[in-house]
Amino acid sequence: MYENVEDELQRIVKLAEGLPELFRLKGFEILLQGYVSTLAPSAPPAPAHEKQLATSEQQGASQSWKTGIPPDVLAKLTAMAKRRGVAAEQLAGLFDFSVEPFAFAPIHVSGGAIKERMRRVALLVAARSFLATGRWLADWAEIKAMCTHQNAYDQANFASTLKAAKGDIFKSVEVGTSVELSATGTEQAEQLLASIAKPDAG
Amino acid sequence: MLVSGDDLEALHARAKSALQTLRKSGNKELKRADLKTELASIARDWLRLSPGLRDAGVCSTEKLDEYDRTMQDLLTSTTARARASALASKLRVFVDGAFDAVVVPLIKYQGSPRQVAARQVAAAFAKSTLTPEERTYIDESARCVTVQCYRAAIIMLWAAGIARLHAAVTKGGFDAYNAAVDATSSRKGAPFNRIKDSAKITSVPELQRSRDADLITVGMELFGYDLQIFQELDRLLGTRNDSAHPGMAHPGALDVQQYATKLASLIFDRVSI
Repeated sequence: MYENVEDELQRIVKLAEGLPELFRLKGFEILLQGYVSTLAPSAPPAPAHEKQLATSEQQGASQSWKTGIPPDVLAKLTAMAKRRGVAAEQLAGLFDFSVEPFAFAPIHVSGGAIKERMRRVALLVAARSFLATGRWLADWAEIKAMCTHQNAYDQANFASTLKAAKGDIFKSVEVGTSVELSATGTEQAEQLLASIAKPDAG
Repeated sequence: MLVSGDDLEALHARAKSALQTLRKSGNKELKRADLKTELASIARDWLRLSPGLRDAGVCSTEKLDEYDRTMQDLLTSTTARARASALASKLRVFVDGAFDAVVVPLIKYQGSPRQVAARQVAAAFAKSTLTPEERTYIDESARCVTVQCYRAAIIMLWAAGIARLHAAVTKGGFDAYNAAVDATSSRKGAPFNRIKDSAKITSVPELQRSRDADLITVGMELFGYDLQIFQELDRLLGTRNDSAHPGMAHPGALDVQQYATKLASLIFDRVSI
């Protein structure tokens, strides 16, 4: 059982020495603990009833993300997730349902030019509105607030940037009131949400 | 009243532009009357909207105090002889600091989902021409949403709907209403059989005392909507009653928004005054 202990201990000491002094002792303990646990005999298989209990606990945990999501929102969110090939749980993770009404969880809107990021923010705000009310309508002030939050607010060009996308991703742009998405816009908004939820999706 | 983010940004932009013009005058006495007028106007506009910002609690009161003092000084200076540089130094305090200290917090406040939900509640009635009384109830409901008082918001919305029905009954005359009571009570089965002769009225105070359930039942005759619309209204009344009495009902912002949308289409789009 202890044939290789000496070699392994030397290896652990060497690894710990490579750490900054502050973490050396703790690192040594963790590495040693890890090695010792590999020597311990594996646990016997759990009885059937314990397995069942564990499965139901897992199921409960797998459903726990739905907590706090209003039923109407959940239905739209699940359908969108299915359309975009992402897990509904991942999509739900973009929002904070612990607040009323639900808001965006901390997310990062990427993009090169500030104008592009402003338009992306508008798409995301419209998507939140769709999940809440069923309308792809982004509130002007909410777009602006999220732009400031994402460090993507260009005071001088905010309105003109959104107006420039009218006829493309926006069906209508009511300055100071709201922005309504076109079919292209809704498609892009869903893609954007999916790509943030699961970077390799879209 | 709280200024909109757009209006505050516009004021800040005006101040920025005025500061640039002042800088061109250097250390000389400012003699341009139009610029003095603009500076006084900027100061007055700020002092007018500052209390609303203070009441809403969207930004630091210390900063508001600072800008209030600066703008008051600026306003006073515009009525006397002053160097452009002296005026610029006062205005610079506002231009350099107010965007981050006041404008951005206001933008974030007004763009929060709670404020958005409140605006959407009010927007549900955008197509309707509202009386001042109806407008008061709807505005109060929207304010309830901003402070998460969703049950109160529903009660206020229903009150707006009843205000519309009362106004329509008053406009149509009590004879027409009483005739509708007769026509309703002559029908068999529920809900018509709950309308009794005692539901008749001859004055506004009696109308105010009448039961909402009677009013929406008689409304089928009076306003020409069918049993399905009545049942929808009855459900809205039920939700209102659930909100007004102790129980386990726990409406959220989305429930209030849906309630507003339904109320607007079932009452305000159908019953004109």
